[in-house]
Amino acid sequence: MNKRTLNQWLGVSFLLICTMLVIAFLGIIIFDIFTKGTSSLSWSFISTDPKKGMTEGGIFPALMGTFLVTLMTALCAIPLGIACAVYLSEYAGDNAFTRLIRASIRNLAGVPSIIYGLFGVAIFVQGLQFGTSVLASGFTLGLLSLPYVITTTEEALKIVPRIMREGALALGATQWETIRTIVLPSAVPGILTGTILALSRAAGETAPILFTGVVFYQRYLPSTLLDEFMALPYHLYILSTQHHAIEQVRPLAYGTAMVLIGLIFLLNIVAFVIRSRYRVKY
Amino acid sequence: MNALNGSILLAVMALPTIITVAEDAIYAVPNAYKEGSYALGANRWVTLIKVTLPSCASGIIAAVMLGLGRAIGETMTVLMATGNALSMPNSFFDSIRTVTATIAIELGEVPYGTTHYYSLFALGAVLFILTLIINLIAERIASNYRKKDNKCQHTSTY
Repeated sequence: MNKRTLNQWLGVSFLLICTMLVIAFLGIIIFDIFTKGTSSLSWSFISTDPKKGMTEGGIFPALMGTFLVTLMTALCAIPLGIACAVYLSEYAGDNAFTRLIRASIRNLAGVPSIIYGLFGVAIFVQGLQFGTSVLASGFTLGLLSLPYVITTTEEALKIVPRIMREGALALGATQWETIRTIVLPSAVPGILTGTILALSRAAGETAPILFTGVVFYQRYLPSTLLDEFMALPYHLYILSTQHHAIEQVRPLAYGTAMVLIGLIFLLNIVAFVIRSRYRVKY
Repeated sequence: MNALNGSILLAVMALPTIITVAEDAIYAVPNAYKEGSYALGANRWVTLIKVTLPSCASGIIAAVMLGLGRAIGETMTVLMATGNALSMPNSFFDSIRTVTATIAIELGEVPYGTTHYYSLFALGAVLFILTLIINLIAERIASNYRKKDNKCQHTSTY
């Protein structure tokens, strides 16, 4: 074996070891959570309220709270995001203003989530007087997921071929009619995939909802949009660091982590299925 | 509960960003470069070190910057892992409190409209500007790079 072959062998082995190390992190995390969480996981864990200072019982209110706030997030982010993406991809000319908008959206995606939380407190909770509520949290998370919804929708609109637009325009449709009846319907799977991924991110966020509406424990489910709520990620945070009997509730914390991971994983699977099943081939 | 603990966790959390963006950059290197190198008798390792990596170095730097931006802004991980002691750290094994954790801990209990309240927003502004600068630099590097190779269109925002 000459020197060059030896170098190549050593180098490739090094790269392989690094890759294995990265995979190992994922493996360790999943293994840890699953081995410690399965014991507390059951149907009643998902469907009952926490009891005795959260040392027993389930996570039903937290699950419902996460569901509700994610729904609110969707209602806020999807219409705004799609409208913005349609403008950027169909109407906006290639000028300095458009470039500025695009740069802002890209940078919005890099803003730390706690900054969104601060902004939510200042604007929604105190400025618009929503109080700490599902509404304020939903709007905050909506803003957080907006850049992702916009970029993925734009990408989905971009792959609709020019010929289809031109065909519609040639038949006498206005540009708006073309977008409404031709471009948007054929971009729906792409938009849906991107939106679900963005929502699955938002559902797992803790920092933005920390001060805009999530609570430690609540005996009733939120009945209006101005009520406070419990949420899975925050419940997990409480159980794993803030609880008075941390060792006792550790299995519950792992169970909650499993449910949260399972939920996000499910959303990702749905997005993946939509993408592979309805991918339009031009 | 010390700085090292949080650093390792943040490193793991920054990995996906760095890997996907850097991979895009490496993919975007034109095949002709590699083929030229092979034709000159270089093996794959030498080609990687001497040709592929240097020609996408800026993309990899951008990936690292983006990962760094994510790590700086991360809240819950450091809140749970670094101990949050309010004192000057002397080593990696001391308990530390980051800007994000400070906001997360104190905003919940601070009265509205006080100096304390506004100073938390000032902290937020510092954090925002810091991540904005990092993201802008990363973006500048990545866009220079995109102009050179039109193949690199799919540098995602994720």
